[in-house]
Amino acid sequence: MRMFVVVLPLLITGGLLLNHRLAQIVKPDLAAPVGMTKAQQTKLEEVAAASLFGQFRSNMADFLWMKVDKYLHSGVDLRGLTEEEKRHQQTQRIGHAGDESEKGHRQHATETTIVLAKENDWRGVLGDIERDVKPYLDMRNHSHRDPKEALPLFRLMTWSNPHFIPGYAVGAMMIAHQEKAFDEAIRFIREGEINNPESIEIQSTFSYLYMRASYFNGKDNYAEAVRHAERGIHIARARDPETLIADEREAWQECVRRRVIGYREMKQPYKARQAALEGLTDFPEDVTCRKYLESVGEPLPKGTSGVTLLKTQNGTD
Amino acid sequence: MNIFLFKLTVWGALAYTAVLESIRRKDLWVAAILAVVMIGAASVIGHFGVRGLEMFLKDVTLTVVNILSVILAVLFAARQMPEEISRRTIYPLLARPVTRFDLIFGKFLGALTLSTISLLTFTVIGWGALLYFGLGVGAIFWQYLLLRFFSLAIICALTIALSLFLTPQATATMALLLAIGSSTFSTAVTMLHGSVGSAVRKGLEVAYFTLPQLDLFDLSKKVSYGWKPISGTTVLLLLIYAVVHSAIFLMVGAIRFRRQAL
Repeated sequence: MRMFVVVLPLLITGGLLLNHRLAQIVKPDLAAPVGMTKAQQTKLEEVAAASLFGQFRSNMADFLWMKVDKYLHSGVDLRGLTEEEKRHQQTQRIGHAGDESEKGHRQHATETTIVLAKENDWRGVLGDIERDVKPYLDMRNHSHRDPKEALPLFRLMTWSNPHFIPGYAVGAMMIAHQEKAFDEAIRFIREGEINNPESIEIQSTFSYLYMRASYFNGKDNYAEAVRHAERGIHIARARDPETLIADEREAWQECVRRRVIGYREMKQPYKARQAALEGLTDFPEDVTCRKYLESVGEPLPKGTSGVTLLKTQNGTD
Repeated sequence: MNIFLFKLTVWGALAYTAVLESIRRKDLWVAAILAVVMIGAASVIGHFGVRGLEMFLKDVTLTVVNILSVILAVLFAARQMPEEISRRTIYPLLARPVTRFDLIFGKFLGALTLSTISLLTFTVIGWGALLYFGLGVGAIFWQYLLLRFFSLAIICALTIALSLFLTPQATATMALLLAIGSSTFSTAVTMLHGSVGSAVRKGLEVAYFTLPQLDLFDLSKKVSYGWKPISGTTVLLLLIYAVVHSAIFLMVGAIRFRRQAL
């Protein structure tokens, strides 16, 4: 016991002193590192140890991703609705106070809180205790915490797994919503592009950031927004549509829309019209493309794609 | 009154012996080694700087404290009774005016004391590391500590009861499963409740109310995310819940031990 009482405080003091010394000599490095080249990535995939470590890195990135989500909801745990819950209207569904998807927050209408809402709870006093002990809020009309504190987690998750595209895409959008952080957001997403050159979501995020800066900060970045949107469309079209996941399809459609809006804002109506028609060949019901054509006096009947008009125009009919 | 004082003396002596025995076996060194690992981890985090990672750091620290304290509580409690029996030291003990329930209760108090020492060791280190990084934890932290103590009481009682039915290894495994899987079980029951037939639903309800819901004693998330302290009524209800569950487990253990041939 005497040994325990004497040695433990010594170990603690030693640990804290070591910590203090390390903090003095090591400068925190939270700046964006340069991403890996294609050759470096391939080399990593071929090394067994790196491959095993890669599993850990992916898990770590997923873990941090979930932590970000929890942080933005003040620690309130969310889960997907079961099929039974989807059928019942009384199940508490998550809803936003405003359109917060614009700030990078995901929509979660098909989710509910893990801790049951009082009106659905069968556990009586134990349910009341859980609602007091666990982070719990009525999430039907909720807003999010300022993501500022969560930003380092995006930094950590993309360090952990440089191929974790949602980390780059959502992280860059959240950085961009901080004051005077446009350049930082661009640096962050550029690192994502270096690590994931064939990502549609990253090109879509680029176009979003440039367009947002043009709209809110008065910078004329529409040409850059259009360039990245076109790059995103090019990547998407080169892929087999069957292999695109929902996020990629959504990013592709966003690229199509931003291309139209970008040309419109650059006062290039011919190119905007062309972009809208091309966009309708991929997404026949896209509202942005249709609205643009309506605004220039060329509305397409519902259910018609832009292919017919394009063919007529190009003389290939 | 004299009987009550006598019982207190007996339970106190048994608990003291259990603690002393554990110190002689250097069990608490496990806590010390784990504490040093915690300090090492804090140093590594210090390398990177913690600006902006406050919430994450608190969350990780308290999760580590929770897990380590539960594991040690189970290990301390699981060996109390089987070792007395296997080393045959139980005979001289029971030859004195000590009932079998006294023995179980004294061992429970001993295991609880050891678990609390470990919890306090980890908490002081975790708290010290957070303070060192300039992170406050707020008044809710003390409620967190109190609720952890309540949950350790249930875990020790449950483990001691299990140790009278199962082998030490099986006891430790079962107790750890029940303690660490409590949160998953609770979530699974609340999710399944609406989507199963009425018979299964009743079964789930019985299981939910019978098994100790240790997840209810975990305030770590509220501490991490900077929530305000919880109401005194909830703390009181949780105290009653812990006392009732601990009493039930100790009674079950005592009934089993009374019928057990030594």
